[in-house]
Amino acid sequence: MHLGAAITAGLAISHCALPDITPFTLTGRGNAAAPTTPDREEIQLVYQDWRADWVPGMVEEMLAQFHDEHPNLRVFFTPDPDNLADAMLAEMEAGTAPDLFWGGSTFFPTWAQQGHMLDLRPYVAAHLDEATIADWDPVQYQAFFLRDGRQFGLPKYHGAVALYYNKDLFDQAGVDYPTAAWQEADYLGAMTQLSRDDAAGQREQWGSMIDIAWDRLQIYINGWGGHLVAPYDPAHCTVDEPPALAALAWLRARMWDDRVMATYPDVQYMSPRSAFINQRIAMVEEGSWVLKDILRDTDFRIGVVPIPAGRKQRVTLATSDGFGIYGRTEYPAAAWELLHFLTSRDYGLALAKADFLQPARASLLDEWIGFVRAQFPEKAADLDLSAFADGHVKGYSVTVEIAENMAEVQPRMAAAFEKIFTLGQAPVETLHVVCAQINQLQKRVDPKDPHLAE
Amino acid sequence: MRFFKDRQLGLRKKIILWAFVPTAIILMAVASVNYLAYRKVAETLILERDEEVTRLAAGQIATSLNEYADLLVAEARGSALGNGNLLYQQAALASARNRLAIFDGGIILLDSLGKVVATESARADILGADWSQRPYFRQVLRIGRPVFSDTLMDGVGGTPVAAVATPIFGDQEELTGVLVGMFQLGATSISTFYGDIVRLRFGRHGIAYLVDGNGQVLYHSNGSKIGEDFSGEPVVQQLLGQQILGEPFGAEQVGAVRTHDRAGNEIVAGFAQVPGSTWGLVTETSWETLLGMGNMYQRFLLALFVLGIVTPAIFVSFGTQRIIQPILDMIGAAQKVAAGDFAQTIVTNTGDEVEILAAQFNRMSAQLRSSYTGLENRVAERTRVLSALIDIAEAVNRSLDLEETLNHSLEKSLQVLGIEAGGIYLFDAKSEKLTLAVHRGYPQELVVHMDNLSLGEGFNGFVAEHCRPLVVDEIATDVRLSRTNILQSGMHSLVSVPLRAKDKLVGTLFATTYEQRKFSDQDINLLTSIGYQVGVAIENALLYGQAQQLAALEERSRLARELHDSVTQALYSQTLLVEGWKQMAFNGQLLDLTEPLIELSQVTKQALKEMRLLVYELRPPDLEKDGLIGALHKRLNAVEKRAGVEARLITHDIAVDLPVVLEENLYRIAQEALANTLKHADAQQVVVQFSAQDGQVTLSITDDGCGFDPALVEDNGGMGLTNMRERTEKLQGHFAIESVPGMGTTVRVVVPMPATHYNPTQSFERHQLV
Repeated sequence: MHLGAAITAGLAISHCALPDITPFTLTGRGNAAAPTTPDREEIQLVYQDWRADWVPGMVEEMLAQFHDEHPNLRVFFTPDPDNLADAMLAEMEAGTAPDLFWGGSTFFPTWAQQGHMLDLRPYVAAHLDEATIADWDPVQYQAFFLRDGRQFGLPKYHGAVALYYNKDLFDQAGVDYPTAAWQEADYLGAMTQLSRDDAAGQREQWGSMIDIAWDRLQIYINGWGGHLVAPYDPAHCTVDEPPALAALAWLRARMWDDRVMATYPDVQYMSPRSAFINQRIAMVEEGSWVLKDILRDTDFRIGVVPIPAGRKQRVTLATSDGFGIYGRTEYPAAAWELLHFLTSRDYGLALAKADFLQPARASLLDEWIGFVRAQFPEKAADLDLSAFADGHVKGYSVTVEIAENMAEVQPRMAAAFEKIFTLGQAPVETLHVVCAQINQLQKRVDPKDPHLAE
Repeated sequence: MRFFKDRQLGLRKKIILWAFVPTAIILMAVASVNYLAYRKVAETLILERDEEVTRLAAGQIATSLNEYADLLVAEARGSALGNGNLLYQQAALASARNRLAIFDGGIILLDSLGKVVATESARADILGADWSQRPYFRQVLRIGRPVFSDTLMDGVGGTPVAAVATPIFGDQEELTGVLVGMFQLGATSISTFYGDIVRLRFGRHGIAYLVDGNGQVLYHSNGSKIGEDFSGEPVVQQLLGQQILGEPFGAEQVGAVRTHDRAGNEIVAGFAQVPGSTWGLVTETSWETLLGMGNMYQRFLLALFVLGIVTPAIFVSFGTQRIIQPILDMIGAAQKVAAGDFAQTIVTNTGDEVEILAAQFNRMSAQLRSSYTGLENRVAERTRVLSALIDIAEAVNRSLDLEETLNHSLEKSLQVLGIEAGGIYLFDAKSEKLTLAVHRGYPQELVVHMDNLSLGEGFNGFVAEHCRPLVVDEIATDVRLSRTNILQSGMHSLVSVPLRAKDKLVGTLFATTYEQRKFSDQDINLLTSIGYQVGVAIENALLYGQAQQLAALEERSRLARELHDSVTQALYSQTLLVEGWKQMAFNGQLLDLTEPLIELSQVTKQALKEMRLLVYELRPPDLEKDGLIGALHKRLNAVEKRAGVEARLITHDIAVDLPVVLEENLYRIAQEALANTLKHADAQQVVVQFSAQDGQVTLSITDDGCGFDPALVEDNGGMGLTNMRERTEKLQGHFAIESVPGMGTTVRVVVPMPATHYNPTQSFERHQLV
């Protein structure tokens, strides 16, 4: 039994006599201008962030600075639990979620949609100037708003997906390095050339690999002119429309027809990053957030270029990982102080220095590049780090498309993608059925849709 | 109680008081009982809630602790930590660094003998140290499952930590070591251990703290208290009292008490063991705060109470208003009726007794209005009659002139009856004829035919004959109509009443109308009453006329006597003298005419004096107009001065107005005295003095004439002395005559001045020579 439920039960005993404190949530309850704070000397907050060995030390150092600036606030750090997205939902339902935490681009909006996040608009309006907001990528910043206007987060860092490649393998295969001008055909040609079988005829090296995830597939779909969900109506699934299906069919053909892109089973369920580091693939579409791992863990020369253009346009994914405040925090004003600190220049630089996370603030890019090259002077010497900022600079970045009910939509879509791509057990046309189910789920489609019968 | 006994208290207030006060008392009692019951129930619920919440919170902490333990157990089972090879163990520990990152106090690997064989992060200073005496190590050896330590100083640099220790078993399930994860303790720690406690949010309404088995504070919602020794706190003692030293709690220990914190504030403290550990959780909430949470209910109760008071008050007040208002209306209407306004009616639609009462009131008011109107009419009629009679009385008393009296009487009678035409016949008893004395509204040619009625002739002759009123509605058809000429005038109706005085008929009063008119009994009674008055007035006028004729006769007789006694005697004397002198002249005896002429002149002057006196008396002074002084002044001017007597009028203090009766008597006395002087004294001077002093009026007339012996005169009452004395006595005054032959005469009258005319502050004197 969770404590939140227990407390709820306990309070229910004396409900009329003991009114609960109304939290500030994205449902619009409460009053941001008058946060409730018990009359005691110290306010204690819990901050949750990545479970990584570099995080506690950095957090401790930065929170020491924060505590100096806010002596009445005490922040405790806790790393992410396993199975973060679901575990956090349970914690939030139980009322035991941390006061402030980070959220990933694919599940953060889900939490907000379910009303667990504090609406930040009053605080942003009161405390953030236009220059600060302009320093963030507008596409990324806008990703923290729900369609009804509520704002549930602020950017943590600016991750952009680019194409890492193994120069050594390219050289061995006599393939020209990728360029920023690569099109889909160029990418296919290189992948074909870089794919290699062993003596037994078993494929041992693949040209590339992508993470079969909602947001990564979106890059292809968008590049081919399609969408996961309709931009005008996030309750309407469009992944089965021709541009999206064509993009996904092309991708599936690379995995299961000509086998130039590795699937998870092909690489024993290694992550694409690990498969690249282990030279099972010559290229990998990954974000800037794995830059440090790749630089640290590889013993070959690497390069990075912008993602190849799709059949219609070039698109890259700007992550919308960010920080948000739990809607039922007892101290929203204090939590906002902490959030303000976590999205500050100092904290952005600390992240950039500790793990090479590309700063969300464009004004910190030079320092970030400096950190990378200072730590890896040889590997990063000719590394074109601007490739990660190419989408931001040239304006082709996108953020993850959010369906109206991500908690319901994403698992269905993930299951379909696994069958189609990871397991190769279904054609992309399967998405007609999935889309029909999703649309029906969101009451946006005629129940007589023939695909529902399947 | 006086308030309740106050009979002047309005009905509405009484109803409200008797209906509302008991309700309010009951409500107050219910509210009080409810509130006390609420307080009791709330206290019980709060204690139960606090106990339950604390127990659940402690259970949640245990869950978190178990997750830490599970993390270590999983690591211990799934890695090379149990391998026994130190290098493998250290490598496994290093690879687990990220997974075990929550243990910010570090990871310690002990071998089966309690020796530190590996650390993460690196702590060379303790490698190889013997930690076999650590309580958690011994406990793990004993129970073979994860345990949680009390506060230890095993952190880096001897900082305080709390440890979670789990056994590591080898392939044969033998104990190969103990894996220890440590959390940093202290006010500056940001440990996940604390984060996981804080996020449980069980201290939201107060404070919460976690103590280890020694009463040492592991966590406190006020971080500065972490590390303090709370073993002396009553609640902690109660908590630790159930513990076997160094061992986890045997039976679940949980409770909540109402007690006081260190500052002496009343609190509710909930306490519960953390299952599977030696730790205990205490939550403290201010009793005032908890009660404050019930303020809403108290306010609700108060609002309910107020509502319970106000609502009946409004309804009772409104209902009473509705009930009372018609009664108040009725009172107001009754007051107006009492003030004479009988037009009051009350309209109510209550459908109850009040409506019936209002209807009865309206009926009564209508009856009163009707009665009052009749009474008013009667009073008006009576007033009209009285007014007419007063007018008639005034008219007939205004003059004793018969014609004037008749005219006034007729005019007022017609005016009272509202009739244009009428007249008065006077009855002559000797001729038994009725003569039309006055009339109104008839043309002269008709009047000729109306005059000179015989007794019993026509309507007025009938009235005079029978001496009773007569009403004729239709003159033309009445058989008593004697002179048909009057029909040409168009007269239609007639009323006539006899005029009587002392049961003697003196005439008739009649009125005629040109329109048909039904004379009422009131008209006839009024006219009859007028008839009596007019009859008396006619009688008086007739008597007055007769009296005037008689008085004139007496005055003429008196003047004849006076002329005979004075002027006639003088003229006779002159005649005798002249005859004598003529005889003497014939006889040659009268050679010198001087003496006879002087004597003749004297006689003539005396006759002239007396003639002036008589002439003056024919025109008596108007005392009312001139007053006493003015009249005396006129008299002296008109008589004495012209008679060659030097007359002087001296007055003292005559500012007051004396009664006419007094002035008239004094004037008559003065007149008598002056007449005596003029007739008998042969005086050259006469002085009249008049004063009003010291409440007395004094009048004296003094001459320088021949005087006389008063004793001789008073005995026979000559010279009008008796008359003067009687007038003085009538005025309750004193009369005196002072006279000596050859020495002049003084007549003195002193009378008291009426009190209302006496003003002692006024005093002046005036001498007037006439």
